[in-house]
Amino acid sequence: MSEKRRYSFSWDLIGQVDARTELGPYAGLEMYRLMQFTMRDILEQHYGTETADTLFREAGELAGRKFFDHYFSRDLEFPAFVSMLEDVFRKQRAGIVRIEEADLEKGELVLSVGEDLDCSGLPELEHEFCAYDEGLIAGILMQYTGKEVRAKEIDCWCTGDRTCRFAVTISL
Amino acid sequence: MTHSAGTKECNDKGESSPVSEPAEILSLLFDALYKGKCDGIPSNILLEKPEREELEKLLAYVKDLQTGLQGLAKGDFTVPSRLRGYSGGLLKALQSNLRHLIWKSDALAGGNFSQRIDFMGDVSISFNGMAQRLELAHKNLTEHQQRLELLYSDLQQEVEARKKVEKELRNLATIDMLTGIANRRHFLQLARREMERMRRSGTPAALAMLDIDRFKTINDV
Repeated sequence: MSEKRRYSFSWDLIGQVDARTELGPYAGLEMYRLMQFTMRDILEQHYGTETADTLFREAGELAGRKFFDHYFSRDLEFPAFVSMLEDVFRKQRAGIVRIEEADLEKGELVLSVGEDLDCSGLPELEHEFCAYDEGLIAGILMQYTGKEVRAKEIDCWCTGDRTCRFAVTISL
Repeated sequence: MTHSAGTKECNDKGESSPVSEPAEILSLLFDALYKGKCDGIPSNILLEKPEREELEKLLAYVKDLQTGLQGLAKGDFTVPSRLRGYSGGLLKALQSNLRHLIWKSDALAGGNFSQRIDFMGDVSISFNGMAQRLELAHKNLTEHQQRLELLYSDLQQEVEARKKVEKELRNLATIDMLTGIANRRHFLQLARREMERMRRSGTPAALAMLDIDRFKTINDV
């Protein structure tokens, strides 16, 4: 990209989240999904399904890296990092994170996200849906481990809280 | 299960074919759900192809659910991967919770006492209570150990100080401060001991006396 960029992300762009004295820092799920899914719709129309998913995943990854930099530190031991991740996700109302398996020596991890911001309450679909979350999880763990990380949604199920399960592979 | 053909319906060609009564289908489902008999549709159940396929799917779903539940009962948390939908989701949620609980327990066992859980009602209350008590016990032990280390360090310093004082006292008692050689009392002690040794062993000893001229002037300073 030769021209000067206008939208390069930095956390400053999020602005003062306590600036809304009447409404507070949280917005409705409908508005969040309305923005995300209409954007996905337009991206798909312009670039096709696969590219739209790739763009979503990459955006999620960028978000994950910035999110990590803002809230976490690499100095944390893994269990403490997981506890903090659970807390921050819950406080941000982004989902309920649960680690099911973790073997960092093998670079394997399985986690689930309940009441997921993107997909909780959606009708059950025949395809995996959470490309953005795949990127977000990969981005967070990429920053924490300093290695290449790939997250793949392996299970998305309908229980009312619509929990998603992700398999994470960390390059050794 | 009774074996009887029920009402007759027409197929695409206008020919009638036997179809089982709903009661037979319900009985089959009851057997599957209640007795765990999910081995497919028996030959005595007669259905049109689409209905048969739907029933087969339903029975397979029930079988998968039961396989998953059996696994949980035995401590195997591998839910059949094709299991989807609401009931399958509940099973997977339970599986996920249990696997997360295991991970949390492992972390706790590894010495990370900050772990807490917030699911499965009484299990979380028990787990969090245990984790809190372990954390408190660990904190108390750590503080106790730190206090002991501090006390040990103080004690070592005290012993060193006492050794130093003892040495100084011993020096004061035996050394002449002006010349740095044994004082009169210490000399007499040594001489007495040597004379006793001479008497015991019958061996001679020598005593050298030195006189330093005008030492008094120094001694009187």
